[in-house]
Amino acid sequence: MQRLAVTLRLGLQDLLRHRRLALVMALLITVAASVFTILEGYRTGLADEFNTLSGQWLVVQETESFGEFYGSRISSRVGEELAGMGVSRVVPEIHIITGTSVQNATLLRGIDLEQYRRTETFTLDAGRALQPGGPARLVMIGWRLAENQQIKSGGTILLRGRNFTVTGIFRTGTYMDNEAWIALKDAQDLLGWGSDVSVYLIPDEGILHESDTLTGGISVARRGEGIRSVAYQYQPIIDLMDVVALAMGAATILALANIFWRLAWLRRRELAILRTVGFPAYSLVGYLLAQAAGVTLVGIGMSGLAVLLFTSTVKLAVTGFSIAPRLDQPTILSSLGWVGLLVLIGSLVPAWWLSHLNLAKLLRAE
Amino acid sequence: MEAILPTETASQNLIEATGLKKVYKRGDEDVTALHKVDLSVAKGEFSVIIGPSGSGKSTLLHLLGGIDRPTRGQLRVNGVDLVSASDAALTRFRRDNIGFVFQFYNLLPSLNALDNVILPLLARGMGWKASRERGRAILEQVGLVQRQKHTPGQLSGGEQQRVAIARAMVLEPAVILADEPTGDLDSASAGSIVALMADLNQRLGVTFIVATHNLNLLKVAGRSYELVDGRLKQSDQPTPA
Repeated sequence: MQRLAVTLRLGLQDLLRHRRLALVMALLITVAASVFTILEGYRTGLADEFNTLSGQWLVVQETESFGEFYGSRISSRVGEELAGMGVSRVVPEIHIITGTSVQNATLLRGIDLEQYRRTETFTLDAGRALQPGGPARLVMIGWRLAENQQIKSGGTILLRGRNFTVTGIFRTGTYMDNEAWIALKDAQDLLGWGSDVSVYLIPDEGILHESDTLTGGISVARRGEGIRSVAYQYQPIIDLMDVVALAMGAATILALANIFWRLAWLRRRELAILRTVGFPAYSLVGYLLAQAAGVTLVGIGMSGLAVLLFTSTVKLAVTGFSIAPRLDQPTILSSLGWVGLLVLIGSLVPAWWLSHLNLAKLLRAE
Repeated sequence: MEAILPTETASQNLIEATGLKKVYKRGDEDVTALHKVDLSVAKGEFSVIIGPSGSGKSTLLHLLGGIDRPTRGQLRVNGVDLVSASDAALTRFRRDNIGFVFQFYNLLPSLNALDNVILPLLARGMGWKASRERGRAILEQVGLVQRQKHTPGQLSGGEQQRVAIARAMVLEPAVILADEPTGDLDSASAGSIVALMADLNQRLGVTFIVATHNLNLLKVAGRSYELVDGRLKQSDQPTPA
């Protein structure tokens, strides 16, 4: 064990002496690892954000519309009909996109202040939630919208030409973090819809079923299906990102394997000298492990900085949706686990290989 | 199975090689580097092997040092049968019995002189502090203690070879094998390295086997051999070391 520790130290000393070479190798890892992480983060983010809505609720909306997103307008009579059918809870919502262009579009949701906490799960990053009986022209906004428009709790946001005061900033972990939530009445006044709404959310309790139709061009869908169908439009892009992320992952592995092999090959004479003076074959692992781990740690550290820099400066937003990479703990830990495994294999295999090469030939190597 | 007992000669000689043959593969061709070499070296001898390039001098030293294995023949060094020893046993053998000195020094470029010298001690499991104390004492003997913090790149060729000799001596090996130790040095440095090896042999009784082109080494040799086309021929009778 002590010999292993000695060779670890010797390997590290040697690496520090060849800082420029180590830095170039670390940069190779940085490029591959950061591109992979960013792509994988975007892919995970897209997949998660459009697939996390609860399927416990049904949506009653205008047939062939994306009611949970935009395009549905139904009369309040539908709500009364649903109550008359014995539906235990009928939650009205308005969904619309405001703004004058694709760039400044905002997803707007009118919510029933008495009931919205039953259908939405969120946490507050700042301020407070909308309360029943509060004054008009108040709004809660998702953290991503707040970040994109640089609005803080207590500030104002312009919705269809009118200023609303931001009471709180919420977080749901879904695409809804791009939305602005206002009282249903405010939304109806803002749009001039009278008592009309976009959709009614009802619990899936067996009275109505997915794909059922009601009179007047109304149909029932599973909650989340509409937004997923919007997301399906992005599916080819997500699939492409999947392929590119996998390719980058493979490139990272190849880059690491190549770097470790190259390191071992560059150090073959030093390793032969160590074997000649009596270090056992297994202790060569220490020498290579120290170098591989040193280069990898620097590379991973720099890629972490690169990813942070990228995600904090590059904002991708389309039609009110901003897309952000999801770099959660399991993703990062599993990536680090894979890298650790690669470092270990990348040291063990060349060490085993070098320990079986003819020592006399290695000593002559220049 | 019949027990193999050491013969009287084997017990007296540090190195006992009989019928050593080494064949290399070069592409599809077999190249015989050594032909039936017989060699006996007693403890404390200073033996010199001379011969032209490619005659097999380095190959012979590699076999004697457990760096390479013979294709055929018997080889015992300090009581260890190098033909049948496992790789791990050969590693231990090298560590405990052999000091190597090479033409191009083979020092680790990232380590200073002192840390290069103590590598065999670290390989044996001695701690850094004790190793460095011992290393300084050895560097003192080769006249380089004042250069202990210098890396190989900051030392002259002669100084690097002194560091290599110190590294070879640090574990007080049974034998030091030197392969062209003056081959990369100017005549003044070469002279001082020859003098150093002769001094260590005479003062401390260190056994040396030196492969060289340098005929000056014959002046200090107790026994000399000539190796031509892989065949070894003794040139002189032993003289007192």
